[in-house]
Amino acid sequence: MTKPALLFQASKLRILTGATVDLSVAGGSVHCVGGASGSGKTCLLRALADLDAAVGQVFLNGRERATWMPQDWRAAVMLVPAQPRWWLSSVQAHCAHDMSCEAAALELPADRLRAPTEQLSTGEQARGGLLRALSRDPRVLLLDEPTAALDAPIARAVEQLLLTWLSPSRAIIWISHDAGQVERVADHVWQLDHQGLRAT
Amino acid sequence: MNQPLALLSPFDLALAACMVLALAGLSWRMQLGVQRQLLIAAARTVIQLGLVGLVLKALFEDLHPVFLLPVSLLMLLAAGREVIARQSQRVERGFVIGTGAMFVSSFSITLFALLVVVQPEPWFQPQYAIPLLGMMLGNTMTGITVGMERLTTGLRRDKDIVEQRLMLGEAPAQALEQDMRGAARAGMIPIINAMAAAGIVSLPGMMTGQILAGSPPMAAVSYQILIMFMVTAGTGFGTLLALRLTARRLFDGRGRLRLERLRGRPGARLA
Repeated sequence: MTKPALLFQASKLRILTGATVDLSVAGGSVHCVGGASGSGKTCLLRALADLDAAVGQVFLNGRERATWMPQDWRAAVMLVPAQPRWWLSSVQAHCAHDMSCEAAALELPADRLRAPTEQLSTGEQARGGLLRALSRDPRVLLLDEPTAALDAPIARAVEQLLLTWLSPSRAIIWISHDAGQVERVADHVWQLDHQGLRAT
Repeated sequence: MNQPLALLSPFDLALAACMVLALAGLSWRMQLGVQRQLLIAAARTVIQLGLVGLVLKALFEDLHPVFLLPVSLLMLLAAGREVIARQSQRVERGFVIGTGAMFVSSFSITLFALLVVVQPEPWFQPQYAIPLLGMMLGNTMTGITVGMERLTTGLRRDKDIVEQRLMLGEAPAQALEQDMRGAARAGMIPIINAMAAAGIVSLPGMMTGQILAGSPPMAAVSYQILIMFMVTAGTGFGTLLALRLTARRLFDGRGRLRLERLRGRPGARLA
């Protein structure tokens, strides 16, 4: 079996908490990141998506991000926030194309996909945030506790959808507190502290 | 002029001032707390307009264009200061942004009006140049003030939305589009309303003044139309330019939202 190609890499990336992060992500893999609250997990994702200024280098397909247009980088290395906010009428209106199939897989019926966003529950909004990101076909998904607001069966459905979404040209960096979930989805598990990432 | 102008004596103005004094007295009785501001503003009106009268008198007697320069510059800087004083959030380099946008739009449109439309002899005759520039600056100032305030407060409120739009791969201009549109509208609506209501709901102040001072009504009307168009264009272009510059200041070279360049100012004066 050949070793999967390197897809995404962070080198000496200094995030807002002061931690220095090195990370190599192969295509098709899921890297789970844990750590105490306040250890800077969200800061790590923001630095990777180039939303906060951070010293260091990040590569996608061998190309350093300074050579990317910022919006192209963020479209390829896409952060899915823990609490999605909405500016158009419905979740579907925020998506690049029709997402009813994927929504159904997440037990989000078509009428909820097209309902006014202010009528959605926290859990429905969390799934909506994932759908609008997937509709834009990113290479690397940065997930900030995507199932924290979901009950167990729906969380499993989210895991299923994301694992089938994976391909050799895609990868996921996944912040999760749920040990069972990490067990189910992770190829690599990391702990973040104020120095950096540690393999566990 | 058909009739001799009814000149106002200082006594006449003192009588008019009594009405403001009476209002201040009522405000004091009702504990509204605006009597101080009211009296200070009234005093400022007398002092500032008196000084302007003296300056205009001196300018009208000496036509040398060199004197126009310091006067118009002073007017510009005073307007720029007002824009900044009325922001509840201070943008880094906000003074340069507001004043620069005002300079570009007010001065170019005033020059256009003087050189192409009105064409007084000589074109820089202060009797035309100063009042036209004053009208331009006054209105553009309001548009820019309202627009910038709306953009910065909106951006603070919608920070998460703007950042989440960036996360989805939108460029800053696109991520900001809703706040930008709201701010541009807020800056331009007052002047659009003024055009729509002109003559029906309100007689514009300049025209009223001209008619009271004895001008034929149709002459006053045509000048008022000219002023309205100039002011609308100046306010619109000035506001859009100031908003663009403000937005650019609030993002960095990598399209990141940099709200730390915006500082709250609890002591800001209300417009």
